[in-house]
Amino acid sequence: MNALSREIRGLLVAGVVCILFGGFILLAPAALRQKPAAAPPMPESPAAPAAPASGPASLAAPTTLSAPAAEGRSLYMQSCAECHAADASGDEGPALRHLAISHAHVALVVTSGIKGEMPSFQKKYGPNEIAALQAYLDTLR
Amino acid sequence: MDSELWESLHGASTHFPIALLLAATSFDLAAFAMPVRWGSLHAAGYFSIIVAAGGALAAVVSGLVMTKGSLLGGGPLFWHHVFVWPASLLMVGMATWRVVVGMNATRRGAFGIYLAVACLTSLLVLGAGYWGGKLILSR
Repeated sequence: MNALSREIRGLLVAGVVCILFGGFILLAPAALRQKPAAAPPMPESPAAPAAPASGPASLAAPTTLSAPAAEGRSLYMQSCAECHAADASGDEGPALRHLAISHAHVALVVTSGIKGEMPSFQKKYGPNEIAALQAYLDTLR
Repeated sequence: MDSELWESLHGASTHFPIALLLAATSFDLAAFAMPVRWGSLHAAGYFSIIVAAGGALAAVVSGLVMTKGSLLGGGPLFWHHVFVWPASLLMVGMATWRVVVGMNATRRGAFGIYLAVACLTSLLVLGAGYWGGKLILSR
C-alpha cells in the first residue's frame, strides 16, 4: 500500500471516528439529564400551616428556615417558582430538589442563565441574594 | 457521584490534552522544519497527539457529567463550548489519522495540511482554555 492510499484511508477512518465521537457528544446529554423525580414532601412543610390552594404566592412561609434560607425562599418564589414550581418539583424548568450540583455551579447558572432555556439573573441578584437562594435550595437537598 | 468531584476531575483531566496538543504541534512543526524528515521529534509529536486525544475524551466525559449534559449553556460556558467541541473532534480525528498513517510514512504535502489543522486546533484549544478560565474566575 503506498503512502497516498494510506493517507486517504486515514482520512476516511478519522472521519468515521469523528462522526462516532460527535454522536456520543450529542447523545450523551440525553442520558445524563435527570428526569424530575417525584417530589417528596418539602422538609419544612410539616412545620408550616396548611397552604390555601390559590397559587405559589399564597404558600405559607415555613418557620424552621434560617434567615438566609427564608430570604432565599422569598427570592425563589419571586423569580424561580414560575418555571420550577412553588415546591421546586419542576414544571417548565427542571426540579430543583435534591440538586447534585455545587454552589459554584448554581451561582453560574443563575448569573449566566442557559441560552434559549433560562434567563440570566446577573443584573437582578448579587452574591448575597444568590447565597440566600443557595441556602434555600440546600434545605431541599 | 458528587458534582464537586466531577468538577475536580474535569479540572484535573482538561490540562493534559491542552498541554499535549500544544507540545505535539510544536514537535511536529519543529520536525517539519528540520532537514532530516522523520526524526525523534515526529515520534514525540505522534505519541503526544494520541495521549492528548485520550485526555480530550476524559475531559469531555467529565465535563458532560459535571454540567449534567449541557452542550452549550450560557455566558462563558457557551463560549467555552463553542471552542471545545470542534477542538475535541479535531484532536480525535488528528490522532486517528496519525495512527492509521503511521509514525514514519506520509508525504510532506499531506503532513503540511495536518500541521495546518493542528495549528487551528491549538488555537481552538487556547480559546476553550481562555473561556474555561473565565468560568473559574467568574465564580
